Amino acid sequence: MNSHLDIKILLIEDNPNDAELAKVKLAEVGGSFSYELFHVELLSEALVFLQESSVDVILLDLSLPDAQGDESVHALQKNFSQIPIVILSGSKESSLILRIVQEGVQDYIGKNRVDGELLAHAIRYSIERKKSERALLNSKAETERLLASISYVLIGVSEHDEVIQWNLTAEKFFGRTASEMLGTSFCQCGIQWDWQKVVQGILQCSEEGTPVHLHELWYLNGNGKKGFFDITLTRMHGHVEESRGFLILANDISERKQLEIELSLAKKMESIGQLAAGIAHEINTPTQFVSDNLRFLQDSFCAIQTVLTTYDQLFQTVEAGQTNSPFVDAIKRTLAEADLEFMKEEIPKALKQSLDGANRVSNIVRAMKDFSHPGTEEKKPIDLNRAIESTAIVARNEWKYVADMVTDLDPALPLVPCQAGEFNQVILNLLINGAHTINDVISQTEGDKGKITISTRVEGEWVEVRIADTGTGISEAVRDKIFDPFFTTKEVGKGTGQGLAIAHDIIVNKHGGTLTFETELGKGTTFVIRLPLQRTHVC
Amino acid sequence: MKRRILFVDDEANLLEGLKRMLRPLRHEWEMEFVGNGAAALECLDRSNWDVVVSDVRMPSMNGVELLNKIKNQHPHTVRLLLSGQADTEVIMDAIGPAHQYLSKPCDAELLKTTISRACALGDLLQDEKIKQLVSQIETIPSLPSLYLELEEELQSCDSSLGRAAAIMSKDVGMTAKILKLVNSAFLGIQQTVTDPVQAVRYLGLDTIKTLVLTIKVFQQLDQSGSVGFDMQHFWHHSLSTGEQARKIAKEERAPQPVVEAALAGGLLHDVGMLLLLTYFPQRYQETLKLLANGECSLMEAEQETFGATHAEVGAYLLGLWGIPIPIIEALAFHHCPAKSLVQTLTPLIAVHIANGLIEEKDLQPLEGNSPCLDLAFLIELGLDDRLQNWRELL
Repeated sequence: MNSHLDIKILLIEDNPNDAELAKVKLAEVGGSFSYELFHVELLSEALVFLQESSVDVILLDLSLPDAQGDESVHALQKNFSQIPIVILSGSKESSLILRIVQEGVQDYIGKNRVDGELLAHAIRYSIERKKSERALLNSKAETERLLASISYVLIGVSEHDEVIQWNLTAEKFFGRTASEMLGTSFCQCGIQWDWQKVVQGILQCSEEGTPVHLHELWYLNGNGKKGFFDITLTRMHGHVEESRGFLILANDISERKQLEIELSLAKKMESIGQLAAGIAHEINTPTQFVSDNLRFLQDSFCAIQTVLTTYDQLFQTVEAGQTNSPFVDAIKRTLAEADLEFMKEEIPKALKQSLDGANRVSNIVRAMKDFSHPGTEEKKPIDLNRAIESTAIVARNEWKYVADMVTDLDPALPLVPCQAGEFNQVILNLLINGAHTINDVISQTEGDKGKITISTRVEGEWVEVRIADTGTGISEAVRDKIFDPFFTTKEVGKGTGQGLAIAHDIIVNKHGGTLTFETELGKGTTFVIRLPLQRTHVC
Repeated sequence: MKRRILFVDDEANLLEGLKRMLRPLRHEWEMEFVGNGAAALECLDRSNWDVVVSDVRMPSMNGVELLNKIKNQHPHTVRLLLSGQADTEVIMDAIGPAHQYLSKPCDAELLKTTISRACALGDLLQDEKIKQLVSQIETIPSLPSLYLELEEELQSCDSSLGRAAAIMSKDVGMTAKILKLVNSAFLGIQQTVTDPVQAVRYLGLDTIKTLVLTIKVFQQLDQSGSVGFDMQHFWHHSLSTGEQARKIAKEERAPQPVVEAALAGGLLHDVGMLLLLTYFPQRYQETLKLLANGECSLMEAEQETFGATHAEVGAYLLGLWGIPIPIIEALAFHHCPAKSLVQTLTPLIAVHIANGLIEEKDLQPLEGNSPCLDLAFLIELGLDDRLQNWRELL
């Protein structure tokens, strides 16, 4: 360190005596510092002087001919904010002095107390204080730049519900500037979003002290447009009360959410599209035999009518007393042509099968309505048995050629809070997987059809749905991978590897349930869905 | 003798419905109804069947597999599919082995006439051997230059349906196949389509691409067997007969469907020649030898070597394929229109006249020295005085 430091001082003082006194006192001071004093009498002179030369500190009298009170302080701070100021004044106005110090003046010394050592200390310390003040300002500016450049919305809230942080991104999203927002009450700040979730999160965060994540929370931006945030709430542990509170970091996921919605819609359309061909087949077949039967019934009725007409003619002649009616032969001929025996046997069957066929068509149409379930994302209590039956009917063409289906559905099953469309998707995916694996077995062995068994029952606080197939079973090597997205054992082009991953996501993440499986190679696999009977809080 | 029809479907109710609906035909048809492919094959092994009508999706053996087996083991049996399947992939598979494809729900009358027509076609060919061989044919070869041109068009990044249609409508084999597809229940088109360009438009570029590039429904002509046969002249003759027949029908103000069928009938009228030449090249050489001796007509020479003429062979196969009847009629009777009992200007008459006038003009009749036109018949129809007009259209 340099042992002999030269400190340049500008003294602004209109009283020559006071100026002389300061000069003398400073000259007395020894030690490792030397002081070089420049003296001006007016503020205007000081401003001119400072334009041309630099000084380390300003000694300022508060009452100057061209500036009174804090005017001079403001003028100097405005133009030369980097230079520390020490007030040297006879003023006794303590409120003024306090205010000036608050406004950033480094020190104050009463003229009556001027003492060389004291003055020297005040000068040196104020230089140091100014240095650290500047360092602090720099660091603050840097923090602000950092906060401004974050693409997340960042809001700081004090323990007393006061907004203490509001970054540029927050300004952009909510259309309110930081200066409008800082210091206002957070809870009444007027931004529109899912307050219920936010408040719940804040309570949880302050109770547990650990960060809380809130997913897919809706908000309205400054233009009233709806979007979604993923939010992290973190507690701030400050040493002073003012810095305690919590930090809200919000990531805009509207675009991602939009993509997800489009994707899930596309998936839904895709699954309906894939099923459409099969459903058409399921409808076309009964339509064919119903209309064939109707055609037969029409022909039959014509024949019967002919028989009846002939009988009627016979009856009339007999009634008229004719014993040897010419219509007896006619009856014989008509009966021989009419194929009555066949009709007697077939008409009841044709009627029954036609009714069955019509019933089948209406069942399919009803099931399609159930299955497609125009997408409410809300969980509503639904009848799982009916959902399972409908899905099985809609997908019938996908499994009926390879498997028989056995259902063992508990009639006492209570309604379960569920997103019906999503649940149907899970059942569909598992059914189709089951049919595929059974097809692998029967096409290898040229064997008969396999079996798919679906059962439901209540297990304490849970409802359990089991879907068992008599397929190949899952080999040990892949058991821990089957729920991974894009994992598939099917040949290229046959499966996307998404079916089970989607099923898992729906059951576990969206319904707070579990999806597990029991499997034995060569015997088959049973998937077990467990759903909570009580609504659970799922983030 | 009763026709014998075998129905195959895994849905018992459907078979029973058919049985009842077809009951009035019991005096003409002997019918059997079985629930799966294996049972159908057993029936076919035991006795002779004229027509098989099968469902497509069935457990263990599906309809396409069944028809492929029948095609190889019992080629004389006409193979029809009756399916509720809307899945194009399955239908594409069925294009080869099935003579015709009907979709459920199928109108009772359509089912009856389709089966009756298929049965009646058998009468066109007396020779059982030829009948069997012809009914196994899945494709009619195309002119290699047109085939390559089409392939190139469809593979180019800016392929156009219009250009593809223009190429296909110049080829005998492609036109026949396209008409088969478009008139099957495959596309669910209600009316019959006889205009090849319109048929291509109905199918659309994607389907055409799949058919040509992936499934390869068309096949290039192998010219090694056609020694002594002027293929260039054949193609030219087919195209100009089609064009001429169209002009004649138009000149006579025939309705649009007749004009279109006249064009297709003219293009396809000698398709049987192409079939005999491709699938029986050695025997066709004998035919050509007989013809070269100059002692008989082409028809007589074919009759001598095959027991059938190209007119009958072409009409039989395209009839099996469900090509509209006016076109089949034009194929079958283009040399002897009087046999058809027609009274007005049908596609057959237009094709007969076009064929006759072109041969007359060429002075080197492709089909021997037979009298080109049946003048007596034209006089009977009161059309003889129009001949000079039509000549001027050439």
